[in-house]
Amino acid sequence: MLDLNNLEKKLDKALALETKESLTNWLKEKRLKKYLSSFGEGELCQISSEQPVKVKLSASFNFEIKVNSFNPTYNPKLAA
Amino acid sequence: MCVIKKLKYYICNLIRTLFHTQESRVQKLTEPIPCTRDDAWLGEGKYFWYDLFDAEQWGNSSKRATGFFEIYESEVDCEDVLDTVFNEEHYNFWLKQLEKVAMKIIKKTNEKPTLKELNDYFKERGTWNEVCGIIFQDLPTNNKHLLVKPIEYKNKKFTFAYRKRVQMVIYDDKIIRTFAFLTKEKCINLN
Repeated sequence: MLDLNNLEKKLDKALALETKESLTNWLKEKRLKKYLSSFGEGELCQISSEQPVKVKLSASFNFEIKVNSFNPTYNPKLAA
Repeated sequence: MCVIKKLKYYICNLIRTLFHTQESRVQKLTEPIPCTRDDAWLGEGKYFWYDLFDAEQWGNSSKRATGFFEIYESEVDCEDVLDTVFNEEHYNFWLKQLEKVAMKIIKKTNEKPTLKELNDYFKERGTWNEVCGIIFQDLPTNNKHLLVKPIEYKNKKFTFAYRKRVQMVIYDDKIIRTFAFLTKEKCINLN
């Protein structure tokens, strides 16, 4: 049986440690992942451009990806 | 309530029969397929319907790729599941935690989180690893099958969606006791 008090304690502890930066980074990372997944299955690779790629996710949430410093592997599972 | 009745009530509420809908494939499934869609309410997990009717509706509306859909039946141990539909304590707890995290995120980032993001926060930052699944609900989007007449008010019709559409997302396979093919059906147009 779930111990709700323990769950709440763990959550409160995590929230107490959050800063503007930590939460913003966490949320940005989530949304960037979501944005990248919209391209479908595949892999991102470097291109020779020095121009950063700007990604606008909402009015106040923007990403700027510098292509030459960004080389993630992306391989989402097939959506069920 | 006598002990046997209490025990029966306890067992009946812990083991639930639920339904998993997928497109019909060449080979029958041996386990449910995780949903990784970004619009999945409560994040990545294995989704089940509480009601067979909703499992069929889902097949007809969203699992049409091969023209047929399949429904699988499972017995699921709900002991370590957050039941926000039938358990009042769990619902109040979940709502409180959800709004607490949402307020914090809004305050710190000026962004409203999605339900999925909030749920991801519970799991990733709150380390709610012991929560094996969540039972949740919305209301049916198709009013055609409701058995009540719409209310007319100021020349507008309002349908009261009295029936809950209950789902469970499972994060930990260990609570899936059985998984068996139930039926294959041809997709029909619901409209």
